[in-house]
Amino acid sequence: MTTNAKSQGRFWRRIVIFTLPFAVPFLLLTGCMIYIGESMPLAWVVAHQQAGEVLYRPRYGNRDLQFKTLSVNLRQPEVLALGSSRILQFRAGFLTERPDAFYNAAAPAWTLNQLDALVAGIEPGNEPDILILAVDSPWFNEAYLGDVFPPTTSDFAHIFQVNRSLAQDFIAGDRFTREGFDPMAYLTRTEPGSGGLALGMRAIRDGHGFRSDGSEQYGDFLIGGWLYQPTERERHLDWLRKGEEMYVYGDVPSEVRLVQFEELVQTITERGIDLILYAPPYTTQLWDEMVTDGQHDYVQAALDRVAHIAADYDVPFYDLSRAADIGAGDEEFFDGWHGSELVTLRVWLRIVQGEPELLGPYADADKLRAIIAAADNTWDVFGMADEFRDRQ
Amino acid sequence: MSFISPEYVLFFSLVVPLYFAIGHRWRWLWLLLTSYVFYAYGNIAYLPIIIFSTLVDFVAGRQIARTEQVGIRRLWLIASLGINLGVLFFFKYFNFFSESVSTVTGSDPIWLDVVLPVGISFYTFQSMSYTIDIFRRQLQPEPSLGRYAAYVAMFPQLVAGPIERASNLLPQMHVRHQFDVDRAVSGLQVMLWGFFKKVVIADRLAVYVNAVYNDVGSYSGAPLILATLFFAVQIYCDFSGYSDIAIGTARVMGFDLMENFRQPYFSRSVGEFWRRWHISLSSWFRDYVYIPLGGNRVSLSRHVVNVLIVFLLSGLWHGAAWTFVIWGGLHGLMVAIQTLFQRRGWWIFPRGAVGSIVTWLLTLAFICVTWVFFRANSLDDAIYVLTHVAQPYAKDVMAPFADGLLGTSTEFWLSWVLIGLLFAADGLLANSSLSLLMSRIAWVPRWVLYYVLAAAVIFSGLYGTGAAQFIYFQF
Repeated sequence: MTTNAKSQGRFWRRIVIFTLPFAVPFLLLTGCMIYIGESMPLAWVVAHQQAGEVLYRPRYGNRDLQFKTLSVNLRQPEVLALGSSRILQFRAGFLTERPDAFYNAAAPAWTLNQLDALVAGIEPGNEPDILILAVDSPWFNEAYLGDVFPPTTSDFAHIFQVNRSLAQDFIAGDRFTREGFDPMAYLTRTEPGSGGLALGMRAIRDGHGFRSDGSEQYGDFLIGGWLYQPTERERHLDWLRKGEEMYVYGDVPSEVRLVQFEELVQTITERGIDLILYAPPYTTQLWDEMVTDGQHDYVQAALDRVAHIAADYDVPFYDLSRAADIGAGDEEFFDGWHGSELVTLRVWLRIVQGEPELLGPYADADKLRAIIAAADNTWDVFGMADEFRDRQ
Repeated sequence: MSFISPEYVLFFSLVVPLYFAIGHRWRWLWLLLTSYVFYAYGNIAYLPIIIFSTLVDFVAGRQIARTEQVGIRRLWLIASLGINLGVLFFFKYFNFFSESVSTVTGSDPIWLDVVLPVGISFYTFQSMSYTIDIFRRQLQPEPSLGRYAAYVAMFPQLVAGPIERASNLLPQMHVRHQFDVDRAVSGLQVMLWGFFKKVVIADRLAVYVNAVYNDVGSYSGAPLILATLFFAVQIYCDFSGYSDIAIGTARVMGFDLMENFRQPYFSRSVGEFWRRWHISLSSWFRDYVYIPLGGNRVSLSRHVVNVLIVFLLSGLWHGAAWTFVIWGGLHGLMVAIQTLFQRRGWWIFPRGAVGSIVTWLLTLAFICVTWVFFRANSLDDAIYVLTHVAQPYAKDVMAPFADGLLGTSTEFWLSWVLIGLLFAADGLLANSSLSLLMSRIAWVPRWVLYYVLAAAVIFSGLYGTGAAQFIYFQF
């Protein structure tokens, strides 16, 4: 049956009328979410961060891998930091001579799979000259499964996920605020710490996110005051003693994961990148207990194997697992295994001192010692805004 | 590309209007290209396989039709079936058989590191039916490779059916489709209902089902029963929802796809269940396996064997795992028993309404019990479920809904409300069509219903990349 133009016109008008109550709020919300950075295309975020100091962290989704990979390919840093959240306190300011040459491509909860994916995602020609890789011992525990990451999402699909998630949370009672925070402030895109530009609901509300150099600002601690470090350190000790979370018991390191790690090292070195490996510190109390409790024997065994792999590929490896060995106190840790900015700076100094030829053009050890000596806040050595901003 | 993604909304909004804007002469090309885009969107590596399968059967069909020599006709048919089944075996069954042989012989299995192309079980069967029908002289070969390729790859039904027959769909490739408002409205109604079943019902129940079945050892008794019942509804809504979206999309474009589900949970025998569930597959097996084996025109014992063969193959079609084979085998066994009773003229149930209720409940119970094998992650898990359903469970039976959107208790009771609505809707649809039912509703309440369904899909669903996939995509 053929439909005449009149009934077709009526049909399309009805389609428009039907979709309007959904389309208009959707478009308005999408516009807002893109503007405040929550749904902003990742390439735009990277462009913002390349132009100045911008804090970025959306509330919804986990597109860290796409974001960091894109950042690396667009920024093409000479010195790259990579690993899990335990390396995220590495800042551009650590490279006293060449802060512009640095990018921190790490992200929270990353394991070997994400590192493989990021390295594979660095396009030929965009490789860094130097890659500093922080090695987490739980990676080598078969019983430690880590977080489940969602599949990669396009910018287009992310818009819909954000809108739907916002609506669902609103229906569930969330009003996207906290004490002292006006939801309308999202539209100001102001970072609560430094007052600079922030993109993404998490960054705007909590001051928590990735700085322009890729490092992480712990807004939860430093601005929101949500997390109390002594409690977190105790919580980690409790997990250690119960064999939970990242402290799952293990006797021997996983051969499968050691092979995967070795292949990663091989890939990096074959691409002409100077690789530096290191094991980030735990609190002294936790480390001493872990290596002697008889339940985590895989940890030292894994680090020994990493050392062998490093030697096989002529790659330096710094085992800095014990905080006291680098002059850091347990009170300088967010929890059991995330050191403060100053702790990380001490790690960096140790590496710089060990690699003068490689890292000398980027960081002056004397300057680093002076910064450490003058630091009066272990959590925030360079200020809420990266020193890089002050140099512009 | 998944139907439940924003990309599909954009795809549909562009492809369908342009289909009608393009002249009839080139519409097959637009349909073919967009179907390939739809298919390759997930992984472009899938594309050469479907193109290869298409070319093989197009050539085979022409060669079969151009000669009267039985031997040559048979050779081309064997080539078509062999290549299609060989491709299917390579991608889907090689590792399964290798592991099975290894278990029996103790040798090391040979593993192939291959990705299973989405929908391969569907389009190879659809493509094989073409050459078989030509061999049987029930169909003339399609002269146009492009239109044949469009028939195989047509995006609404490409990755999860219905498994179309060439005699139904190929002639429609030649029809000059005009945009028809009534068809479009009907198609959109079916699509909306399909989205609702998938996104609001199936994905909601999946939260509970996955929590239990992915950790069966932590449960006993009531949660195992509930998870199984919920799975029965989940898989029905998931699969029939997809079919509805496919059928509705095709209808908007002017195509009529075959019905794939007909209120299967109202069946009063397992045989009837398979005449109502995944109709396109069961009819395919009937026409291309069961009947060539002799069907029911053989001795009783041979009839029973034919039934068992068909259901074991059907089980294997659903998945390369022994749980699927057992699932199919159990259905085959029950149908064989029913066949035996029928042919002997035995009837053990009361007559009339009481008998209907009894047979309905028994059929439903049997279907649900066999779903355990279909859903369980392993044979051990399936056995665990069946051996622990009667054990007590002291914890909160609603707890597996912890990851649900609206809270444990709300999700639990809402699920039952939705199941009730589903069965009520199916009851109405048993004697009518969706568009006919909708046309009997006044326009105000009808539009309210549209808005409620659409809002439920948009706001309550888990959809998009990373969300629950259609269950039958793995086939």
